[in-house]
Amino acid sequence: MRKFFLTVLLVSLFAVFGFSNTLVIKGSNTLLDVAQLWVEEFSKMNPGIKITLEGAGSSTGIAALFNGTTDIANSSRWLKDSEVQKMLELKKWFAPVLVAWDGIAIVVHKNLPINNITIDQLRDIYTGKITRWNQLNPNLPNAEIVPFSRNTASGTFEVFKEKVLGDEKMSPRVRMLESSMAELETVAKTPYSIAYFGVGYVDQSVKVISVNGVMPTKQNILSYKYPLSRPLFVFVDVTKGWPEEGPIADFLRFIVSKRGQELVEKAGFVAALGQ
Amino acid sequence: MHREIKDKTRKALMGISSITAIAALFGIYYYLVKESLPAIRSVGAELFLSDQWYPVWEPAEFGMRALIINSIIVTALGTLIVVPIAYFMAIYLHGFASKKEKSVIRRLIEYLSGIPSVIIAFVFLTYLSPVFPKLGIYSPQNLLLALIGLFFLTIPISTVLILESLDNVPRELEEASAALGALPLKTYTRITTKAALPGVLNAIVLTANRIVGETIVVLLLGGGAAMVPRKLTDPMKTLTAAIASEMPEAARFSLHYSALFFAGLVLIIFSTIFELTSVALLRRSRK
Repeated sequence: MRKFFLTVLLVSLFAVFGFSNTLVIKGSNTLLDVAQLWVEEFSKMNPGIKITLEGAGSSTGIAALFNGTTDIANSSRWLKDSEVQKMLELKKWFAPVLVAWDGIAIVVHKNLPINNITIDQLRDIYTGKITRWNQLNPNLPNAEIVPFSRNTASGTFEVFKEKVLGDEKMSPRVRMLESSMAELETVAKTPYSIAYFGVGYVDQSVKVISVNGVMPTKQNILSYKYPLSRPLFVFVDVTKGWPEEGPIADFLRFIVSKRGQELVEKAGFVAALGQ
Repeated sequence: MHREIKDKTRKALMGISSITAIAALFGIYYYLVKESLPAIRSVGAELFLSDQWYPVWEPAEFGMRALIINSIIVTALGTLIVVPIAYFMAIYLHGFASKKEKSVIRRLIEYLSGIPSVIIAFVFLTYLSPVFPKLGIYSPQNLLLALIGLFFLTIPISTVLILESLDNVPRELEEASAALGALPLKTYTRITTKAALPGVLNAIVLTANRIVGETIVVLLLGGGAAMVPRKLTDPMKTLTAAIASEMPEAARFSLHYSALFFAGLVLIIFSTIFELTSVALLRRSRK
């Protein structure tokens, strides 16, 4: 009987300590690929830390930081005014860590004979003023434009809205998809389609076009020549001070380290530090 | 004496469960109304009258007309197509299939009805959705694809429910009808169906409720465009899809959050209307 109780006690202690070494990361779908690489490598170096990773949109990650249901919020955008206001009301403080640079790539179906688009044309497409490709240019096919967008929880959506749409509203014709990967796959299969997502998601199955004559190359993104360049962040709650030790601190140190930033480049984004 | 105590305990337990169920229902209604009130007060009739669903814009707009109409379209079309198919499948299994055939098919249908909707949505998204652009249809996710997904999801459960009610009709009734010279099909569609009407109506209501409440299939296959489709191949978004995709980002107690609760309230009102209609139809059929 004594042995039994001792075992139960040991198991409970292990469970308690085991669970205290956890790390929850939620947020940006754009950063999901990079975060997966970080988590894989970090887990190898720290096998005792149990990490949960979820990509459901930057807004979801920041909302989780408010609720205390995540340790780290990945975000492909800066905080919204409403979020800063909420921080002031709740007396919570979130600190950003710049982890990468990205360009929102404008992609079309591979067979579409278009190589460049202007911000004004993009706005006309996404607000529904232009609905056929030949309205953009008579040499383009007389076919309906099929526009895709990330859903409203996405940070990419927020940046696109701010940089392209301004005060204008997105047409209800625009199909909202749940992830960048879903956009990539759908554009690859859908003639006459157009979509936007982080440059890290681009592959051979779609065609990237230049915006205002500028391609989203590493140099153009870093120099901000590419009009849809943006920084990518992770946010942490520092209400009780900056994490000096423990899983959050270790993870943050890792992602800004040389190796962490190499993984950013591996995922197709531009490293924020040490390059 | 001992038996009496047992009986009383049983009755008390049953009473508690019924009261709990009723309380839960009222609780859901109470919270839906409570959380919807800010949106109702602030947006008013525009919630129903406007198509402008711009919850994250400045200024935000919360016109749900398109979302509500889309939910009605999906439910009406879905139920109108699913129920007859399920009914004739059930008639076949009830009266025409051999015992072995019936048992195998029934097992299979029961198994199909238990498949999670997300699996159906994923399979259709991966294999059927890319077919549309090849046929010259612009939108790979659309109303038609969502309906096809819903058919696969609801036909099995609807068939099982209708079959169950047909099987519960006493055999004597059918034998009497046959003895009077009625052909089997006529017996099953007229006599058996009439006798099984409460169960069949119940199956129709449950099917409609399942369709109106279905989320993942319409979210992944519907195309996510907050507009009323002009044709079957246009993309669309329903109330459930809006709730599922937007609730995680809607700040608690914001107007967006409240508007999504209002969408939930509209959905539960739909379910109540279906239920009351079926009760009314049953009463009429009994007269």
